[in-house]
Order: sequence, then structure tokens, then C-alpha cells
Amino acid sequence: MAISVPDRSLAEEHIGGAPSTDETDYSVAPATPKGDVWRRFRRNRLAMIGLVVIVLIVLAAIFADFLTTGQPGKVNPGDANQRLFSPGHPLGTDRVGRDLYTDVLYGARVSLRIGLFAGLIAASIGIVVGAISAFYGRWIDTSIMRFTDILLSLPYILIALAIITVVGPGERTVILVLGLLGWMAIARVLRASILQVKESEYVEAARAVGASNRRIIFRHILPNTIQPVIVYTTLFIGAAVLSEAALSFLGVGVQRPTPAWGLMVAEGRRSLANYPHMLFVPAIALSILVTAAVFVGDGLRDALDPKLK
Amino acid sequence: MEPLLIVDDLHTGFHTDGGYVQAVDGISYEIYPGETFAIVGESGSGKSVSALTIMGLINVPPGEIKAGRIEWKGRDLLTLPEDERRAIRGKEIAMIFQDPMTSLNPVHTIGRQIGEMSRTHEGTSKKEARQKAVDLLDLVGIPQPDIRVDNYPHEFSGGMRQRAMIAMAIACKPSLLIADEPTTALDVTVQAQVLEVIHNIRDEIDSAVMLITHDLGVVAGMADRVMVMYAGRQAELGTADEVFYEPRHPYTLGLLASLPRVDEAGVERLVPIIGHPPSLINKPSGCVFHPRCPFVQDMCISEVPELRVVEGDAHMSACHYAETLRDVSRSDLAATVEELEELA
Amino acid sequence: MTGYVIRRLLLVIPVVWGALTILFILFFIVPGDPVELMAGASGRAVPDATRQAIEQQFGLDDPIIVQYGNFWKRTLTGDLGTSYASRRPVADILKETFPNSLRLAIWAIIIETVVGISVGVLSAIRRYSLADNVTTVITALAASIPVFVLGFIFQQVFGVFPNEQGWPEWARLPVQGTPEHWNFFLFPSDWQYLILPMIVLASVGTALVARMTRTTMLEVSRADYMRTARAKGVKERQVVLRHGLRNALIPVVTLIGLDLANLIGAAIITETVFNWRGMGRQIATSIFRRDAPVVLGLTLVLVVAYVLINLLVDLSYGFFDPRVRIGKEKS
Repeated sequence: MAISVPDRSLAEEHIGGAPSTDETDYSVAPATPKGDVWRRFRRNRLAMIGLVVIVLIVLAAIFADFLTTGQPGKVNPGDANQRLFSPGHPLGTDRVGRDLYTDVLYGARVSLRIGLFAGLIAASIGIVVGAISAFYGRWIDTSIMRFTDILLSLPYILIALAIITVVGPGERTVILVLGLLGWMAIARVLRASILQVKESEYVEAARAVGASNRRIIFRHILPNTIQPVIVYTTLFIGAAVLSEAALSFLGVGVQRPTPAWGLMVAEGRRSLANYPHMLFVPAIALSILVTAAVFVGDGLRDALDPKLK
Repeated sequence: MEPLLIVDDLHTGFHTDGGYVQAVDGISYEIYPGETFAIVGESGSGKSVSALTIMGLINVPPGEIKAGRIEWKGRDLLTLPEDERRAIRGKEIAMIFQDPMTSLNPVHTIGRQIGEMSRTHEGTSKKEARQKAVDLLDLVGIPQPDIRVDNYPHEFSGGMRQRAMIAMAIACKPSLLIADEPTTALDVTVQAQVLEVIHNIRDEIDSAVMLITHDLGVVAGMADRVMVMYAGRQAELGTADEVFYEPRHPYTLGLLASLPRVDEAGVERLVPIIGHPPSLINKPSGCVFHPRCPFVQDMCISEVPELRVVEGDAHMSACHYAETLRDVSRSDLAATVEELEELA
Repeated sequence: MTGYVIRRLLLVIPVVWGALTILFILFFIVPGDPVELMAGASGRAVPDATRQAIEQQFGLDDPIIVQYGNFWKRTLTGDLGTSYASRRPVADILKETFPNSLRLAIWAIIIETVVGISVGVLSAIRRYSLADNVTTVITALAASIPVFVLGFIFQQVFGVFPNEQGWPEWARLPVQGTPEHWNFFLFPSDWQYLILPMIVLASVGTALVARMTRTTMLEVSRADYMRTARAKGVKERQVVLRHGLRNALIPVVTLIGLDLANLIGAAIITETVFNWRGMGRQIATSIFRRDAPVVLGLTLVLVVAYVLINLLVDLSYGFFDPRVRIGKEKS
């Protein structure tokens, strides 16, 4: 019987896009390669726009000194109530003569600073607590989680407000309060993530092959569990910026002479009837930053979830 | 006897980011009343997609039914308006799916989901539908049906859920029951039970069964006729005896040879089919199986083989050299494959 | 299910206890002399006589434990303290402001639920259409723009601008104020005052609900049981509503419940912007005036309300999801 070896190379890997009902669902996902995530993120137009906007704002904040000659928060009664596009004051001035353009630029620094530091505090505490809870298990886990649940049952904003009322306002207080009240969710997320990965099949496989605990932790568990924490922290930073704005608006956040967008909105409110720009300039700046952060956060979440398309 | 279902040169494909996937690539067959017709093939062979096309459950973008005719009791399903098709769906042709856990709605009781069949097609009242559901559950062998009828899917075990699916499918006494991998998601012991239920049901309501599976063992016990599919095309079509005992396509040979046999334990190595399943976007030229065929010849690479009668009245195969395969035994195949593996 | 209910109820006790204790700590122990706070925190030294009088009146010279006990006793009998600013009992202030906040909140939730779910469902059904894309952007914006910015924008557009331009009565809305007279608790005679604050308060929640509903509807549409329902020959509309929506709503209900937290925060700002005489505005003004008893008293009530509402939401899962209600599998 004549046999000929096929000299043609074997057909390409089955790509398949057809929804095949007889495919088993392998829901255990190994670490998503970073390039993959970035590619998916890039496809999301809104998220990319958000990212660009945030980068621009960050740059503006860093290079504020070069972008303006004015002094932030400097009161200048002679120059009060200048409208938009006035000479020397592209965005006008407020009731007491502070240059809005300068204050908005430096206000960006304040918002970003507060958001970042609050996020750092929340993330640090959250990661430590979540990791301890997940790795030690048993009653340590139960008691930590119970405690976290209790704290989570309290309305965040009210407690923050109450604390600040009593302790007194100021940038540092705001950062501490926001950070200290935000770690719970991150701890929860990390713990859930670790627990899920700890029991997953590829960790079992790694163990079966004889990988050491440390190796397992660093090469398998960490990369997968850190992703939801990143997403969550990003969203949290956006929320923190917003919270700070609200607190400043209510008068218990950042205090003058430091410019803060929320504070400027509150100040602008008084002249709303005659000079609406005093309120809307910082308001719009704030909206742009927060909206961009939300888009980026959403984009990150979508990009990291392989099931969504 | 007039066939219930005539599928004629059906082509179903999908537009995807990677290209156009030709999932069903020109298949034709008939199903007669009361028979059990098995469609066998690996994942991606197109067997499920062809069934979904018959049912009209393919989403037309991104899917596309390019050609062909599906004749059901004399009417061409592909040209029927949607509401007429919907009237047939469930009532005359019913389908059960692979995973009963996800295929049943978790927030409705089993009774309600079974009852939905008669309420939709026969306009029965809620009470009557519930009673009918109880009777059906009893028919498929579920104990205490009058209590179970008010349970939710998550309160049933896997095997029971599949039985409930069967009960649901036969509620309106369909003439054709399509079972898409009904046992794949179940334990082996439960598989046998469910298959037996299907077997009994067939007699009970006098319907034909289209059994879709990749498991040859399932087919052996139950099928009257078998169709083997590969990469969206038909490889072989015949009675169960013909296909199992006198295979006339290298792919069928490969499938049968790769089954571990109890009576040959310890004698031979398993004989695999070398290579991987092909891309459905860029299919190999000529015979779609040629890259993996141990007996490939030049004509196989250049010409697409037609499905033709190669033995007796109705034993068909799509292989240029089908007749020569008569003399090929399993050990011949094993030897050839081994040679090829050493060369690779 | 009963086990779940009991466990959930039991959780309420430590939470409320924890909240009250935290507030107590804030009030009495945190650095910041309560006497100074009470005396007006003006920075000037408090004369001894005044200090003694205040300490006696508020029992500040008792040991902490006693104060803690008194605190509990007072709170549980409804005495929430006295406002520093107005010398009125906090309980009275509560009685005045609570109903207004409740009305606003109820209306906001109605809007969130009805409008949010409808928009979400329509968006999912007409996926990728122009309407869907527009909706996506609008909801994204509504969910991100800070509440107070939104409030001011609405005020300008619907109130101040028409006023300046001299538009007729029916074309503009009042920008400040609270209705006086209410029918059946929820329907004010001068309903114009309700419109803007209600919409602004509901905006974020509605956007989130719409987006989540769309997401869950899309997820559900891919579910196997949807295919089964179609395979049974059920009409498409029934498939979407009876099978799809019923499942998709489960997480949405969670969201609406959780949104209460946002609602409380947003209410503080919205009420301030629109001068709505509710608890939110009261808290804001009291914060500004450093009127701690009012802030803490109202916060207390809100915390308890929040915890109880969350409890109700959690318990309602049993109603929506039979898997929670019934639990383990029987073979």
C-alpha cells in the first residue's frame, strides 16, 4: 500500500471564532500577558482619551511653575472680578483678585496629591490586611473580615465629615481620613482574589511539580491578584479626588491660601449671579479630571477581564 | 417512507475578527421518522452549528446561512417567516443542550419552565401545565414529581437536571428531538441513565432523535444511522453497523482506532490521529482531512472529494480512495501512523 | 434562608454599636477641647467660670466610663444633645429636617429605578446603535461629573438663565427652596421646587443603574438558558423580559441598595446647592459652624438608617434569587 508523507506543513492552529457549544469552558485563567491588557485598553477610545487627559493634567500640575508666573492663592483686591480673557488673566479673577488660571493650575497639584496619597495609604493598609487575612486563614481571617464588614457598613462620607468636624480641616487631615476609610474595600478585593487563586488549578499544578512556596507566591499568585487591586485603587483615587472636592466645597477640606478646586467652587458660588465663571472654571476643571479618571478606571477593568468583549 | 427532515447543501458561517469561519460547509442528509440519527465529530466539526441552523438559533449577524435548503415535512425552513419558524421550534422540533445547569433558568421553577412549553404552543392554563409537568417528570423517571415540580434547578443533581430538560423538550411531543452532547457534562454512571431515558422516550412519543456527540461509545448503543463530520464537511454516512464495522474514511478509521479497547489491553499503543484540527477560516485545499491523513495522495491535495455511495445502497464516504480502505485493518493503520511519527 | 436572615440581623448589632462608639470617641475623646468647641472655638481662652459651667452641664467632669454610659442612656431615650449654635435640641432639628430628606430620597430612588432600568434595557436591546452610543456617553458623564457641578449647571440652565431672559413662568424652574405643603407625604402642591433637586440627586445613581442594567442584560443574553428559551419557541419579547431581565435585575437591585451610601453624600451637597431644608443641608451648615452635637446627632441617625436599609436590601435577595433563598442542592 503506497504511502506518501504529506510534504505540506500541517494546517494552521485552529483559530475558531464560531461559538462552539461543545467547547469546555476553562475558567481558570493563567496570568494575562501585559501586552494583551494594554492592547485591549488601547482599543477603548474613551479610556484612551481619559488617559491622555490625565497625563496632560499631571504634566500641567508638575510644570505649573513654568506655565504661569502668578502666585497661587495670592490675593490682589485691585484686580478683583476680572472676567474671562482679561489681559493678564486668561481665566479671570475671583472676588478677591486671585488669578483663576494660576489657582486652577496649582489646584491640580492639590487634587492629584490628595488623591494619590490617599490612594497610597488605602492601598498599603488594604494590601497588608488583605494578604494577612488570606494567608493566615481561620480565625484571623474571620475576625479581620468581621471587623472590616462592620467598618464597611458605615457610610463613608458621614464618618469622614464627622471626624473632620471634630478634628479640624486641612489637607493632611483629608488625606489621612480618606485613606483610613478606604482600605477596607481594597483589603476585601485582595483577599477574595488571593483565595480564588490559591485554590486554583494552576497553583495546584505548580505545587505538584514541586515549586517552593515563595516561587508560587511571586510567580503565580501575586501577578494575578494584584490586577483587581490596581483597578480598584485607580477607581478609588478618582473617588478620593471627588471626595476631597466635596469636602473642600463644604469648607472642611483644604483651606486657603492653598487653592483647591472644590474650595474655589464654593467661593465662586457667592458671585454666581454676576460672575458665573468664578464657579464654573474650577467646576469644569474638576469634572474633566474626574470623568477622565472614571473612563480610565472603567477601561482598566474591562481590559483586565478576559471574558468581556 | 418520506423523510422528516431533508438538509440539502447547507452552508453556515460566521464573520469574525479573524476572518470568515466556514462552520458548516455543504452538508446534506435526511432523517426519517422514528430513527436515531447520530452526528459524530470532534469540537469544531460543525455538528452543533448545523443543529442550531435547523432550529433557527443562529444569530444572523455575525452568522450567515449562505446556501442550502432545510426541508421539514415538506416546507423549507430557511424561507419561512420568523413566527412560523417559532411555531415549529419546540413544538415539532425540540432541542436539548449540553450543560443542563446553565441551560435552565435559575430563577424559575422546573415546573414553570416545563409548563412554558405547553403554555406557549398549546395555550394550556397554568394549572393544567403544572399537572402536565408532573406527568412528564414522572415519565423521565424523577421520583416524587409532584414535589419536585416546584423545585429550582439548583436543587436538582446533574443527571436529574438533564432529565428535566428532556421532559421539557418532549412536552409537546415533537417529531424530532435534537440532543446536543446530552451526556458530555455528566458523570459516566449518570450518562447511561440519561441515554436510556432518551431511548425510552423515543418509543414513548414516537419521535426521531438526532444525537450529536463526540463520544463513539454513546453512538454505538443507540444509533440507527451515523454521520461523521470533520471541519464542517461530511466524511462518512451510513448505518451504525456499516460505519463501525466497515469504515470507509480515514478519519473514521482514525477515530475508531484511537479508542482504547478493553479486549486488547496491554497489546498495542493507542493510535492517535496525528496533527491538529484545521482552521475553519483557512481550510486545507482539496480534501480537508489531507494534512492528517496517513494515506494522503496527490489527488487528495488538489481535489475536493464528493460524498458518494461507496458500498451497498446508502453507505457514503467523501474520500477519493474509499474503496481501497476496505482492506485496511486497524493494525495496518497503527503501523502507518507509527512510521509517520518516526519521520516527524 | 433562615440561617442567613439570622446571621444578617446579628450583624446589625455590632455595627450600630461600633458606629455609636466611634461617634462617642469623636465627640469626647479626640483632641480638641470639647469645652472650647462648645464655647465657640474662637481661639480665645475660655474663662474658668464658663468652663466649669459647661463641664457641669454636659457632665464633662465625670470619668469617661460614666460619660460613655450617659451617652448611651441619652441616645437610647432620644436625647441627641443640644445644638451649640442654636441651643435647640438636636431631636427637634431632626424632626423638622428628616421628612424633607426622606421625600427627596424616595423620589430619587424612584427615578433611579424606573428611568435607570428602562434606559439600560433599551440600551442593551439596541446594542451599538446610535442611541446606545449616545446613552453610553451621557451616562458616563452623568456618573462622573461631581454632583455639585451638575447641580449648579442645572440651576443655571433651568433657573437663572430663563429668569434673566425673562422667559414665561412655565418655562423656568425655581432654583432654591423647599415646598411647604405636601399631600400624601410625597406630592407637594408647589411641585416645581422638587424637580431640579430630585433630578440632580438621582443623576449619578440613574447613570450607574442604567450602565449596570445594560451590562447585566448583555451578559444574560449570552447565557445558555436564553438559548433554551428560544429553542422552546418562546416569543422574543418574553424571552428578554421573563427570562433575561428577571436574572439581570438581581445585581441591579444590589446596586440600587448600595447606592444609598452615595445618596446620603450626594444629598448633603444637593440640598446645600438647592437650599432644600433637609438633614443634608443641616449637616453642611453645622459642619461649617463646627456645631458638633448637630453633626454627630444627625450622623448617628443616618448611620443607623443606613445600616437598617442595607439589611433590608440584603434580605431582599432571598426574594429575588431562589438560590439564596433555598440553598443547598438535594439529589
